[in-house]
Amino acid sequence: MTSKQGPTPGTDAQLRQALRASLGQSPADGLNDLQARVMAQWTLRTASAEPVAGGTGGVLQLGLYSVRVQVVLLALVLVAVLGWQSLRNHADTSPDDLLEPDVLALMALGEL
Amino acid sequence: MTDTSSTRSSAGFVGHWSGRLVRALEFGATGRPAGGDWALWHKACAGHAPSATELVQALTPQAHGLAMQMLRKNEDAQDVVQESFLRLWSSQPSDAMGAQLATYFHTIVLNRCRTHLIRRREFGTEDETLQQLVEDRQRDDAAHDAELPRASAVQIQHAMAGLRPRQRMALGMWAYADADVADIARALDIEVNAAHQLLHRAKLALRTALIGVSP
Repeated sequence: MTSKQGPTPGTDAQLRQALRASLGQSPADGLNDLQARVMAQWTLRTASAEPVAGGTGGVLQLGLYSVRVQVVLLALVLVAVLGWQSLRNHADTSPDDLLEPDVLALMALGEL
Repeated sequence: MTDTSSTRSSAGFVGHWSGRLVRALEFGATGRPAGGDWALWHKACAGHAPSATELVQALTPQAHGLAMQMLRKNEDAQDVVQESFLRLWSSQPSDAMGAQLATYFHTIVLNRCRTHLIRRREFGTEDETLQQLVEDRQRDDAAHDAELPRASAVQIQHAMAGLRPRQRMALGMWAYADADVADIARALDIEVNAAHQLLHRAKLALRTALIGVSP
């Protein structure tokens, strides 16, 4: 190591600035194909990211990002509500049912 | 295309490295505040195509220019840019630790370039022979202290491309990702003193080359 290896802020700063400036002037010409490929990769990744999402966060992401999943979830909720209502109605015996004559009881009594 | 074995360690290293970049670094192409770029990134990752397009258009030219400086082959540079975007989409904002998106992206590009150079077997220390050390010592050290000549972007990139691969990498990390000697030593898996020597020789070689091309 020579004695001149110490930091020289002025010249180092100049060098860094020159390098950054040169990079800032990088031409964008001829990069359309590359950008198209990058966007194609992004599209594939975005499309394939939805089904592989896992866990609670993944389900939430799916719910946010996929209209189809939202529709399916809504349908499931509707089916669940209708099923619950059906069970509830079946469990509640109406007063009309209670007023119906018990046919078996009547037969046993010899009235039929 | 990409080696997955080094993904985690690379991400950690990128985070450590770019985390040092709390101070604002201007790379000039996008002209947007750093927060704006990260907001675009968030939207792009959420599936917003216009944001992804804007980000790709903003980051690609500099990333390609940087990869060209490091690799000197257009096909390899384009591969690196594609790989780097894949890493960018799957990265976490916490990896950047406050760095601007462009700066963080440069660290990813440099890491991918390093991997390509290793694959191309251009990154060994075999070429750094005694002869090279003798040449470096014989080089006019006045270039180190001389005023940097005005040079065009093309001249600078040409001079950069003339350096040895490890010198290009050290200089690129120092200039475009604000890496210090310790960061360079970690990235290149060399001693800190060796990294110091490498960076010094790279600066000296670039200055000498620029003095040579300036009118």
